[in-house]
Amino acid sequence: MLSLRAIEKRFDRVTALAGVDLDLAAGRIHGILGENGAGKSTLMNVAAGLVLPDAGSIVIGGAAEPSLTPRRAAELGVRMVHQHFKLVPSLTVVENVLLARPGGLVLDRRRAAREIVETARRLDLAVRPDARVLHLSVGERQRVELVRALAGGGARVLILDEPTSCLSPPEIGPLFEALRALRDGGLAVAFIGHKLREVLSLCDGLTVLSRGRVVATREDARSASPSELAELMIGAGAAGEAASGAAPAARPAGPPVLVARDLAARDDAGTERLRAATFTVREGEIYAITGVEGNGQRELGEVVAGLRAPSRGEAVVGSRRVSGLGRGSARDSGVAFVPDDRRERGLVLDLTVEENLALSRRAAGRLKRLGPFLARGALAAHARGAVRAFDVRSPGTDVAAGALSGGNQQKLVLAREILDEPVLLVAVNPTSGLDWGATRAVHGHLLERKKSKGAATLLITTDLDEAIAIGDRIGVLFGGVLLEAEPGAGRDVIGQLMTTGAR
Amino acid sequence: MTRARGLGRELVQAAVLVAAAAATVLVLLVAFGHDPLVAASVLFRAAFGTPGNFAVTLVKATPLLVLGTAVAIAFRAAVWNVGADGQFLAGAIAATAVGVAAGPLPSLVAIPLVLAAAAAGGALAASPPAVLRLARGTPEVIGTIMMNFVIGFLLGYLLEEGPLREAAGTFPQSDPLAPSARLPRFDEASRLHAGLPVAILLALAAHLFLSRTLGGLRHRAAGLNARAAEAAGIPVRRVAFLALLVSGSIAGLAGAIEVAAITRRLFTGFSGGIGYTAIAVALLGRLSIPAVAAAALFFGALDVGAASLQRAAHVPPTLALVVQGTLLALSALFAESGRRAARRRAEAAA
Repeated sequence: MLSLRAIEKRFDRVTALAGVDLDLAAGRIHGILGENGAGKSTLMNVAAGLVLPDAGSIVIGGAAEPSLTPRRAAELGVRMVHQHFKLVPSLTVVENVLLARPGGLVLDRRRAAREIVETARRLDLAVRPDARVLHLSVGERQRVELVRALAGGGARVLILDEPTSCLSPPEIGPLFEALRALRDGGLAVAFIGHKLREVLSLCDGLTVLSRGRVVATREDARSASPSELAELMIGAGAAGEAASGAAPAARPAGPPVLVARDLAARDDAGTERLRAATFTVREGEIYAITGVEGNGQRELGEVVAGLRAPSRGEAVVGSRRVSGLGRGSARDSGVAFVPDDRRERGLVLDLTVEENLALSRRAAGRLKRLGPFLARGALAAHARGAVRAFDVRSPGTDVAAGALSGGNQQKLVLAREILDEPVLLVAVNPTSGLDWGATRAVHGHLLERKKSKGAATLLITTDLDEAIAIGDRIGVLFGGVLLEAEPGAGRDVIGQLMTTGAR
Repeated sequence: MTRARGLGRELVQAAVLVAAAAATVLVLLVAFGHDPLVAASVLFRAAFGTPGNFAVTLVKATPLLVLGTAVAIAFRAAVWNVGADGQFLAGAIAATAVGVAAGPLPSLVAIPLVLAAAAAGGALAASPPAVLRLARGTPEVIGTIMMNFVIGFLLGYLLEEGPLREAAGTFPQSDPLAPSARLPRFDEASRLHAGLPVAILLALAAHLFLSRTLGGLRHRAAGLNARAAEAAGIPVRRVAFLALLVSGSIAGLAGAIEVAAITRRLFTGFSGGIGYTAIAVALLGRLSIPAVAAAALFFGALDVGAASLQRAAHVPPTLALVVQGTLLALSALFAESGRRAARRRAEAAA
């Protein structure tokens, strides 16, 4: 039904897809597996006409489509349900469905509503056509997306980008039932996932992607072994050294710095992402928590940093609670925070390097002042020292932080947070998107802090290699539950924990 | 992007802006059969031609400077205070209530009292939207604009049948302020008054706060990227709350200055929508206080010039509004394209 051949796509310097083949056949559900950044979403966006490949061919229903547009793809029956829903919250379900339709001067709400109800009934999913999307739960919104993709007929290929990542377990069953019904009705379904068990239970065939390449294709998903697939997904990560990696051996424990008890938290949409995290971070260690994106890592980092109130449990640093009291209070208790989005959350890009460095309270408290005024010279001197110590390459300290490269922006965030001399540093995906040199520099700073100061670090990362490389102990978040990896556990064991939640 | 190049781009933009506005006006003048050169010289002479004329321009610019500063302070923290008009009125009401009753007090006591009352009045008018935003996250745009109506009607009540109605009871206006509560005038012809140095000091203080203090840095950080400011430990919601109250109190001071130096009594329709013009002034000045001062002067000059244009060249005074509108539309356009360009540069660098 849909064939992709030798698809290549580069974004600037990053190769997202390097010669990928994929076939989707009518009446089959094909699973696409891979780590974050493996190229799954890019590949599906190519199939839906949202991304034009640099090379390769797209064949839909037997005809080559060299310049596929989203509209053309939709006409040919290729429909996609995105991971991040594309719905307008203030509009009703019917209006959202009509938005996706081409042309027409007059809105035929009644017909659209009828189609929605019919489609929903066919799939055995409950959807209320007149409800406003903003009043719907995440699971309901996804049903709206699904119905929108199918209502009005003509669908031949259905692509779902990580459809279960936002669902609670009871919502997953009905979705799978609906997808099986669609398959039996002759639709070609592509299912992107990273939870092995789900993919194996639902899909007929599967493809494993890693770093933009196909590393395995199975026509019969049932013949695949979970441990082999986990290794293919995770193990192929950093070719060579990767397969040999393992969690570090047990070591003598220092006094506890952070004690987290039974933490749970909801994301902004209200889904409980973090369900049960109990752990201790000790003096002189880097505790690395890894896991596939969307398993509660972001929420955990925010809770410990004081930014997000937990729905249950508490995090304590020394004798002071840091969770649920606000970021300022946690910072005063000695928790520094390197957020995973340096551009949106780590820095104020429109402020200068000097000003960004002065944003932390302690740094500001130490700066010399003349009455109420900051001494410009002191600000610049502080910045020059920080920039030198952390090797931030910047044309000057009075340029906007937005003018720096990603690696240097990240070093700037690290400089600000580490120079605060925190009791605990929380770093979330500190090297995502960085090149090799910048990654090494960031790791160097984290290790240096541990070695020279005996300080504690909580490293939350989706990159297992990073966790193994610099973590002293490793925990895995799966479905919001924290599992501790045994000292010395191999990366195959940890990889299986990440993808199946089982040892 | 270095600072020098950034400033250069701003200057080029400002020049293009003024040229585009001038071109628009030129086309309009010619289209309606006026001589643009005559009109320009009349306008310039009326606003800047003699010391007396310039003094009148300063008098017109004074409330715009104070109100523009009030709006800019709020906007720099990403607090969209569009209620300067109501806060201006609330300040004038408080100043009048205190000023009318301040007869027995010496000026040294009465004037500070009038100003303090006005600042409190303005802050009070800003407090319902500020509290709603702090407690419930209600957008302050809605709260502040609604307060403009509430206070406008309150003013009507106070003057028509309420306690501020003049003793004679003839017109919907207040009694005059006690002489000791009035701001002194330096010159009776132009009415140039002590409010001007007060306004300049206020603007200077606001500028120094924003550019030179830690509080100002946090204020700007919260306005530029609330999520990053929050992650750095800045209490963003509290900053926004205080920004709105301070903005309201500065707008209230503008009301006191107008009533205590110029009109010396309160009447219905006292603001004449000046709180909305102040938003235009603040935006034209790109929320940078020195530039806001220049924009206030420019708007003051337009106001004075437009009146003489009608007298001398029979050009309708609404022309001044056309100029203001053109400038504002163009500056909004520039601001958006500037933001996009900055984003592109940042992405290219990353």
